Amino acid sequence: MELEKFELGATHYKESDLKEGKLLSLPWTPNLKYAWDNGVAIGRYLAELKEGRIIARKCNKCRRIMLPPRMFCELCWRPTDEWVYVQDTGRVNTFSICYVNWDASRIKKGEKPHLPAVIEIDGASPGMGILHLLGEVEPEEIKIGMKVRAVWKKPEEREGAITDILYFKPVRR
Amino acid sequence: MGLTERTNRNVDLTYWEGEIPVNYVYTYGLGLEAFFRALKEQGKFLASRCEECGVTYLPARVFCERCLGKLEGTFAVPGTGKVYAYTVVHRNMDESPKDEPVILALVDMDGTDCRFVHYLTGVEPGEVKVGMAVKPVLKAKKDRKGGIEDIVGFAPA
Amino acid sequence: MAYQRVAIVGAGITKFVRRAQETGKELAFQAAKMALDSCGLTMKDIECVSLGTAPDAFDGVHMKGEYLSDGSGGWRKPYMRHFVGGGTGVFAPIHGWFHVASGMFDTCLVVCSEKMSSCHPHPQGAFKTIFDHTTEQPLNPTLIWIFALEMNRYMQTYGITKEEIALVSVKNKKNAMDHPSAQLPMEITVEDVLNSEVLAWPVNRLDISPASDGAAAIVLASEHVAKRITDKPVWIDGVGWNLDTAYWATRDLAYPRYVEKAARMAYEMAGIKEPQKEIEIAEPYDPFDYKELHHMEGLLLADRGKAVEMLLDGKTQRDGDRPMCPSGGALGVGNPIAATGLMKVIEIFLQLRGEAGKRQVPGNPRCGLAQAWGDLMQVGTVVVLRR
Repeated sequence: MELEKFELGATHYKESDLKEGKLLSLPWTPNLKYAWDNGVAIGRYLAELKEGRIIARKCNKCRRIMLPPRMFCELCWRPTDEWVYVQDTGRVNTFSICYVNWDASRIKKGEKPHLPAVIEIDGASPGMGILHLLGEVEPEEIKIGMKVRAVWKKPEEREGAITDILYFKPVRR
Repeated sequence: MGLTERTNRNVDLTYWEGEIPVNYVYTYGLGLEAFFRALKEQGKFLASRCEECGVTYLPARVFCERCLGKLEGTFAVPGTGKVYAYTVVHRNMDESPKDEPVILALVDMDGTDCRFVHYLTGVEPGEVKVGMAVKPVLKAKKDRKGGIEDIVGFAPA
Repeated sequence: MAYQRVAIVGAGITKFVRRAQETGKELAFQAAKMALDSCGLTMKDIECVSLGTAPDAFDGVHMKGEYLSDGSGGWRKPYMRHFVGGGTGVFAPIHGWFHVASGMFDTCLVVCSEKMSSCHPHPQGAFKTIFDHTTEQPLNPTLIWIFALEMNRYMQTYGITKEEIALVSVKNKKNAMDHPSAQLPMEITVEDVLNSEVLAWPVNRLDISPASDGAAAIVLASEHVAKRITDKPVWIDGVGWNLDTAYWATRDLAYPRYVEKAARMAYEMAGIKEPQKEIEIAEPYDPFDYKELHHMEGLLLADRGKAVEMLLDGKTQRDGDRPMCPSGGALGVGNPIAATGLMKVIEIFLQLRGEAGKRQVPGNPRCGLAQAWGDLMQVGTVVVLRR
């Protein structure tokens, strides 16, 4: 049954076909707004970020210090045991230089590209990375393994959010 | 620390707000495109029939859902029907009260095996009877856009 | 084996296009009808239906499984929808496999349908919610970030260059020129890929598969029924699926361990001891070009960091030792999330039967594999097929 022997379905249309009324369509904008409960672990994580600190959670069985903190260890399948403060420095595990926004539109002319990175935080278990942004660095200078430090918002501007850290910048000697 | 822990301090219960910021543009598909064009341009109701299963579909479809047979060709049906069930709606989607209650009905469409969901118009809630004969009330041709709102509602025949 | 042997006996697929006029239901019907026609069956012969489709957020239709049921032959049948992100397309035959292998049913119609084009401003926007809403979304991430971050780590860990990875895109888009459903078949060069727009370094536009609308379907049958329907049944000899932690930033991004675990599960079931020798042809999931290499290693079809050598030596071309993505893959044929994986399964099905037309690889392969991957780089789904 070679595919070539069949008439395949799916009829293509162009966006302009909709605008020109060649094809009927129905637009709809849903109202999808949410208020997600933070829970015990993330609640504390955000509260500590407001104070300029990063907090993790430890499981005494596997000894992992986990970030973001969680109330149960997903490997040992038991509640975690202690809160542990970690540092606001770390190493770049991987990074990217991004020129597009969430909706696939391009950044404006003259706007600097976004620099997302996975940063392994010092004090947490090896490999414990969090997603964040890099700043105060030229894209060409970024290297995997580079040591970075968090740049915080001014205390009065913090809201208890991951964005209380503006970005991580290279620790320069 | 246990996972289920009571608290009396509701200020400790924090949350994060956000949204899913997408919107949609739905194409009608091959079946509904034919149906709504005919409704818009000629005020006609197009149906299609599966001879294999003996079922007539309204609005027209390109396949039979029972045997997955391909349905070619459409034909007009009167668009009249009988009330199968109805309800009187007093509240909007956000639970605010409506200015005037509206009657929503399931209408068995004559000459087909399908029902339409639409408003009943030109009748008081107390006068509606299940089994009542109704006919479609369409907007004027110039106001029709090719959508379900081209039908204003169904009125007593 | 305490279960029935299951074969694929028929297949159907639509074209993969950026925007289809048809509704998701109509696309599902087109693929399902072709699958039934290809093996001379009707819905009366089908005992149950398995439907795979990606998030409701793409089509903007809540309860999408129920919505698609009429186009998939689900009317008054035991019907189930399943979903594991992009892994759905290969999970679909696995899900259908349970139905028949358990002995509960003798035939199953498996359908995957996707209509992403309804989502505006761009289907990519619906992926914003793949990131954790509290700890990641406030950073305004886009889906491309996770691929770019993973690609960078993979390149760095093994010293692979963008030029080398681009060869996958060149190969697959060229392979797709012989696939009737293909959305982006084209003959390009490595320079074309490197010169295409940088979206999120190291990802360029020609490194990525497109958003698509499309559907695919297969018909499964138990052994005694399959032998009556066709003289070329293709047996599902191994199935595997595995999920990794949701905390994606803590995973080793250079190596997909969950794909390895899914592959091992399938290999054990199929009695495969040396995948590099016994799997003659494969369709690893390739939404981005580096992913084909990444997955080849996870599938144990290449040693870690060495998949690129097989690519450079021409071994993964259609006429090479180990053809990879002879269909043209997601890169060339298109990526309607759930249907892509099933397209890959269909390709191996056709190749093992010698019915892949111009895409047929030489050498009469008897054992092949299809793999898909999805969620937040979490799930690996694998099927091993044999004739």
